[in-house]
Amino acid sequence: MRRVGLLAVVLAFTVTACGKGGAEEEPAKGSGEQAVKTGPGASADTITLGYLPDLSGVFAPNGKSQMEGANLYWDAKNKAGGICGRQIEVKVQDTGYDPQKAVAAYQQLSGDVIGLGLVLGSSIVNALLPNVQQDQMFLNFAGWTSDILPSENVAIAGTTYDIEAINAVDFLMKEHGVASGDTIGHLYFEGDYGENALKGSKFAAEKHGLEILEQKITPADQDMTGQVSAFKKAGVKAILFSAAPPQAASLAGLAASQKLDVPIVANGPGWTPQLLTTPAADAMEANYFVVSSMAPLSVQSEGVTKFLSEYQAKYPKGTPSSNGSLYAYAGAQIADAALTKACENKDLTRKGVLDALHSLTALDTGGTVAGTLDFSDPASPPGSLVYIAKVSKDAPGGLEALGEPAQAADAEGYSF
Amino acid sequence: MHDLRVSYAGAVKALRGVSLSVPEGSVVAVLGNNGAGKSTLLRALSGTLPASGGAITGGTIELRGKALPRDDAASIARSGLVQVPEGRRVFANLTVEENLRAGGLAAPDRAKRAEARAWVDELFPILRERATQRAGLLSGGEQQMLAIGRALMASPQVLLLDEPSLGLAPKIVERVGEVIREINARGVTVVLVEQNAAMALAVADHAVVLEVGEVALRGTAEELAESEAVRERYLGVSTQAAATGTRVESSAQPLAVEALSVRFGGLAALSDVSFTVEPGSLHALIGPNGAGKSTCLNVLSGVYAASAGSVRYGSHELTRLRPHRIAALGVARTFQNIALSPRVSVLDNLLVARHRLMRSGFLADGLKLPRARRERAEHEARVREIAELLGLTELERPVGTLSYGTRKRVELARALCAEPELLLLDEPVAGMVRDESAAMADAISRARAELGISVLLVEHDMTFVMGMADRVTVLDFGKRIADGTPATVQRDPDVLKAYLGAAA
Amino acid sequence: MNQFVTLFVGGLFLGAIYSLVALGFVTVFKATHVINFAQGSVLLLGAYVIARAHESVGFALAVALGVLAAAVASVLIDAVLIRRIRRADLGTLAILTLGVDILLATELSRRIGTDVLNIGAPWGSDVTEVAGIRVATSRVLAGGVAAVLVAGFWLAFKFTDFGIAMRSAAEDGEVASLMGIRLNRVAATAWALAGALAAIGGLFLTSFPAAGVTGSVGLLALATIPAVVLGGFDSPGGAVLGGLIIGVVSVLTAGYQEELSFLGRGLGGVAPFAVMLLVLLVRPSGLFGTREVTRV
Repeated sequence: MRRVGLLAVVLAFTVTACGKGGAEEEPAKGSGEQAVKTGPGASADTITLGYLPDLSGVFAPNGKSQMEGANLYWDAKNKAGGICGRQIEVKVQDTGYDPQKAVAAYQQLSGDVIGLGLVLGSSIVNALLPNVQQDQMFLNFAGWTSDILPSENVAIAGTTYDIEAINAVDFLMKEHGVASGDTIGHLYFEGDYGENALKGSKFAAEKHGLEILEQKITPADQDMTGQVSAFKKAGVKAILFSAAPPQAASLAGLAASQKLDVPIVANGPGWTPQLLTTPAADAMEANYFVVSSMAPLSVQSEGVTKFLSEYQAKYPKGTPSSNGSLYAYAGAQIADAALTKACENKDLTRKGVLDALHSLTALDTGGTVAGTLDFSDPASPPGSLVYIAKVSKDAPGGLEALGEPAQAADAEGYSF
Repeated sequence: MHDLRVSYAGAVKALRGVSLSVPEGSVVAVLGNNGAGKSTLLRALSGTLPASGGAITGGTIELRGKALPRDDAASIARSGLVQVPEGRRVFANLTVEENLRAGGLAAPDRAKRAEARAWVDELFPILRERATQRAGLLSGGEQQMLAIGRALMASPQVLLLDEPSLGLAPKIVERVGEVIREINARGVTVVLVEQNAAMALAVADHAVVLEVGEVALRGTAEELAESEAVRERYLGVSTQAAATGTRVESSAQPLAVEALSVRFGGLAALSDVSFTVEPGSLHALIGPNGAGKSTCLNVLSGVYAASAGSVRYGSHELTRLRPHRIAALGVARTFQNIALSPRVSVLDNLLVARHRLMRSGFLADGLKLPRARRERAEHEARVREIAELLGLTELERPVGTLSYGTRKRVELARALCAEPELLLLDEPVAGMVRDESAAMADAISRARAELGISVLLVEHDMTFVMGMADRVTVLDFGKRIADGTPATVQRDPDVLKAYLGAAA
Repeated sequence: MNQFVTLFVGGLFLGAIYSLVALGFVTVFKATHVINFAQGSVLLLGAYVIARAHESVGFALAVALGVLAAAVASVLIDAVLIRRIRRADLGTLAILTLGVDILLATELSRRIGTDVLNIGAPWGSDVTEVAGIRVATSRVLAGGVAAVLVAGFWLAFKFTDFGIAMRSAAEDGEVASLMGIRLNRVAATAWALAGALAAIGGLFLTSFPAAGVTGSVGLLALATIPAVVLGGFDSPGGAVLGGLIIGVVSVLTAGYQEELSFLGRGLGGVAPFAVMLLVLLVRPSGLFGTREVTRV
């Protein structure tokens, strides 16, 4: 107890100190020209970013992987001189994927940081939003639901699940002969992820005269026997998938065993390279596709290649086993762009960084996120393009991109 | 066994320094009333005390010079001391064969097991016939045979029998006695705990009588059967002050029981029992364990349904009434086990019983309207009067903190608070020490005299009954074997036989 | 029709796995009167050990290790926690096992995280076709193993000394101890068997068509609770039948989700509990349970 008290005192002291530092307008060292305005989380020689990954809960491996990606980016950045003549410092607090703990963790961090580099999970983000808004922080959200929109503070890397689903339907109609009057199945999780995707697929189905056969499941469901049987009976021409890898393996494996030979198109979270070690690997290689604004690792773009080579240099074991590293890497790219812009504007306050973020209208991540990102409208996701990839054992990360990032024409008329 | 002391939950002392030596190859009977500590003694021997919350607090138990463990029933059984539990407790869902196999698990080796099996077959041919039947389907007597056979399968050196005659027909009891002799003849030492002194004294070499946790008498079976002390304990013969004879002024009506029969499945718990409780009298219903006394009481209070016969209170036929309707006629009862709310004060426990008599409703009472308050004050005054009559003083104390004897009197007071005309008492002095039972006797007599009620008393304790009853009805195996004044009943040969056996 | 038969057969096989887990549940209840909510996490433990071990020691040995680990864990729960408060009431003991379940499951899911661990079964995603119905080979095997184990249990219960001791102890522990039956030993054996059954159940529940071992596999054992309640807490036969019913019901409701959509979506997870409640309305002690048990 005493130790906690002591910590609180120290913390309070630090906060006051920071506040003081922020109140004065120090001239930036090295620049020599006009002074850069700073606030909490920015000093003359460092900029501090907060990270709130899950390091002890169910998504702990993912959280670890995210921190690998983030450190990878910022280490390289710091070596190259940092941003605005300042080194980037990363402060990490574990959330355990628990909103209560996340709020406490945020309180620990918030005095010291300029913004949040990455936060996982929409329940966590929703819990933090009131504070984040009050503190005028920007927050990089590792999650792609449009339910979070509109928000001035949240930056999404790419587009949202509903747009992914619209693109998935478009892909199926163009490439797999799905036509008006056909039925397609949609297997989705209850909750914001699955239901957000369903909203998109319903929109697209209505546009094109398709029937959607809905099958709602929970993360505890591991055996898709009944669902596959229902799809087979309805004669679905394709299946949309908005759940997690365990269900993906069951779905693909069972579809193959029941001779339901149709394409399955998944949202980004429906894939992990580990699926290639499951018995369903062959079935997935034949029929499984992933639609996501995050790049498959096999894409030969500048950003992805750079990421992979840096990753392999630091972690010689090979390719990252979870998507987390790339998410965090892309998130760091966005944060970097916003901070750099803020520095150009001579305003490294939190508000300054948010304004800088909203002034980015064509951020190019070098292909880690599909297309260019436009953060000017808080009500819609910054990206609208998606990568479409198919499973391949030989490709790095198990996914082989099919062509260039694309966008379905339908997405234009979709309202969030 | 030497200077054995046992207590339950650290407080209730069930055995206070009992010593008993059982010579090898003999049959020793342990006699005593309910609550005397007989079952506790067996539990201590067989290591099952902890299961009922008891603990040995002093003394030693040795088998052939070796100390027995205190709480490891399985080891004790394997070392040759095997118990046949009270109430037989065969494994009802297992077949007869499987029951015997379960018993044989403790046998030292396969040869012993086969030997024991042959012997059991010889002793109980019926078990061989019924080998594949579920034990639960056997009759009571057959179950007792099975329970004994099951214990013999372990090839015991010492066999403990807990009330083997309980609830069995006279013929079967006789057969159980023979079996015990046959078992003993094979060199097995037998410790027999019995309420049926007649049966026990007939088969035993030695006997001890326990009373409230202490050895009251000991000697050879013949000596004890002849002993005046035993007669006194079982028949209350020596009590001087016999029936008061004074009929009190009473508003009660006669309770007439006519040809009452009760059957549970195939078992006749009561057959053709008749007696009448005269207004204002104290009528005792006595008999050995399993005679049907409690069953009779349960029919009178509407808990059990009669199979045949009638029970009339005044002009009302009780056999078809629900318990609360019977209570409304002014017939109250107490229970063998205390049924009071332990955390609530004596006064409140008693006031609850006035419920039937309260006129103002729940709402009026809750709102403390003047009328309700006045009524409550009146009831409280009456409750205090009744409590004083029974010698209850500390009315504010929670019931749970009172001694056992006092709690039983609170229960009696509660029954009286309902202003009954006829009071049914179920074993009011069971498990009481002498002082307590004297206080209870006093309380009952005073209540009867002051309140002018009839009392029907079911009791084991002969001394207690003979001292205060106007009339006594004796039941044995569900039948009425005697009915009359205490003096006549005490001399009745059938009663002597039921209690002390042919030897008396 | 074809869909119905496919679903029904699939449900039976899934139910066979539930039956195994439920049988363990009932065994523990019969022997020690504990409602063992830790069965789920023990199942997860068994599956986890198999998944982690199969690459280094081979599948067969990994299964042996997994079964052993689950059995030992189960016995430890009894010996360390339950034994000393054996006479506590049913609710206390049940809550105690619930606590153990939460601890063990949390630790295991933390270790597993978001990974999907392959159980390494040699039959992989093979499919067996019988009379036009295609069923995963692992499920057919599960059905076979379950049938053998259930039959073995029945024979052992019925005819061996251990079976007699177990049933005697279940019926009247005190008298059983008077007959020289060592209750702690019977209890330990029952818990070990329950753990072993859970591990085998876990092996098949995480084989194809499931993806592998994930943190939430422990929750799957929850599905066996309606099976146990349905069958009657103390009836091994009831547990087996209850398991089959729950398997069929959950697969059928998932398969006919569209037709049943007026009842709301995601019915598959709720249906077993609904069936359980319906059965209990008609038969309050389950299909085969004895009255005394439900009165406890």
